[in-house]
Amino acid sequence: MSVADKSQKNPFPFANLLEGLGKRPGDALRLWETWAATQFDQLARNGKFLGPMGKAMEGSMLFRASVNRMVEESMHQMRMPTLGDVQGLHARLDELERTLDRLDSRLDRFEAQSDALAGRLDDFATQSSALADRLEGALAETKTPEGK
Amino acid sequence: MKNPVKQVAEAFADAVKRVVPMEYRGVDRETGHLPFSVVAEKGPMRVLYYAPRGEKRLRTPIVFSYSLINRFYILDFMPGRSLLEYLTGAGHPCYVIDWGVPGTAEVRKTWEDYVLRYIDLAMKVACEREGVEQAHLYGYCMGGTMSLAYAALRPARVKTKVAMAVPVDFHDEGLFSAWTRPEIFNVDAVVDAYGNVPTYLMESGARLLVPMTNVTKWRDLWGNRGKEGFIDIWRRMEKWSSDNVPFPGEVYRQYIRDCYQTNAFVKGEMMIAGERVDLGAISMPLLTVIAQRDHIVPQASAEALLDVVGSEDVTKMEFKTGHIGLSSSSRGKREIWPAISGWLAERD
Repeated sequence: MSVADKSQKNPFPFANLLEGLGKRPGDALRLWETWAATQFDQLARNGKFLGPMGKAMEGSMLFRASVNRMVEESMHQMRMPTLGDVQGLHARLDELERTLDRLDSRLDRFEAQSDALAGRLDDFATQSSALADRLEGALAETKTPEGK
Repeated sequence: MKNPVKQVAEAFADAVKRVVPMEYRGVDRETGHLPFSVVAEKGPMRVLYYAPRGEKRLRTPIVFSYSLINRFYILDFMPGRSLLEYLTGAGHPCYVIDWGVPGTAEVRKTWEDYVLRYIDLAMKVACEREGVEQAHLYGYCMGGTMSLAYAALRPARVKTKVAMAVPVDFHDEGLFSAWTRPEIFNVDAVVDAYGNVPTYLMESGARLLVPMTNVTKWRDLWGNRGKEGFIDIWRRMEKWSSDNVPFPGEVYRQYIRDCYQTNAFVKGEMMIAGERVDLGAISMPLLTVIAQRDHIVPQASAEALLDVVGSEDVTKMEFKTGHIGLSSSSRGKREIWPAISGWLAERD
């Protein structure tokens, strides 16, 4: 945007360029840069330009993909492993690895939960032993008067 | 000091060699200047650890998720212009995801693999190694989009979320948005033809975003040959910008379809492994960092995040720099990184 703003001194970008040519050579170059950048930016956003460019690119990609498929098919007929086979194998290994990772993270969570549970059990044990002590104390107190 | 004209000639020769696509010459081995260790690997993906330097050491690690097609070492561009150098110097333990070079095995990998398995692994490793429950998740560019999806689906390990130049609303004024409209761009044809989308296709699109730089960079190189350090920076930038990797096919298909074409990501309609990515589920503290001169991710696209997240602690930082300038400009050390580091340290 700033590039476009700079060229707004004169409504005609080419006039800016010509104006710059009359000044120092560095200025003319900078004006040319600004002018060319603005022109490119407009072109690169223009649907009339981008549409056919996209179609041309898509065409070449589809052609490449169809050549790849043809090569794969002929290699399969010759019973030779292809890139697709290797990728498929990798995908299966990936799936196995993902499953192992999921198990691993589940184990992590389980470990964290069991740690928390162990902590709570420890607390419970401490509390119950304290309670048992108090009960014993209370029992001892109730027995003492009878003995007297 | 070397003769500047000779240096220009060397830079020119180096750039010409890089015209050969990565698929035929391989990726660069030199990746930044800071030492790191590999702490986890899965397929081509690695988790790299950059230890904090200096006296101070913060508790919470930062996990970086950068773009799938550009190499991670833009985060450690060069001495004095390195985000990682700054953050490790400020005491942050840093873990960087290097996505690696996708091959045949990655053609059918999906967002589930990259988001729910790879980012998850990096978060898990960082937390376990640092002995903490949660880590800061720092997303940059497309890596930020993926890490936002992770934060929405698996928030348990995410302490804070940093989104630096992250595209969120894909129906913006940018050229990528115009070029990928469904009536213009047939993404299925591309993926079916190539599998992984080759670097030369991706790079040609990126070059056309700012086409004049393909001309003016040579003028800049010649015109600034006398400036101390300029040629070195120019060469490193040229090296990094041509050192890209292919885009994993199925990930690309879903990225174009669900992000650029239907804008499902920002609408909360994108599905990963059968789970809906609802950005409203992001409730941890959020920092969004925006470059005002970003020609790759328009400002409005990154700012859209602020309207959809559920976080209450939200900070927006804007800087007068470009997309790459956020991680490699001289302004970084002066303004950008101290602000980000400070925000993270406050939430350590």
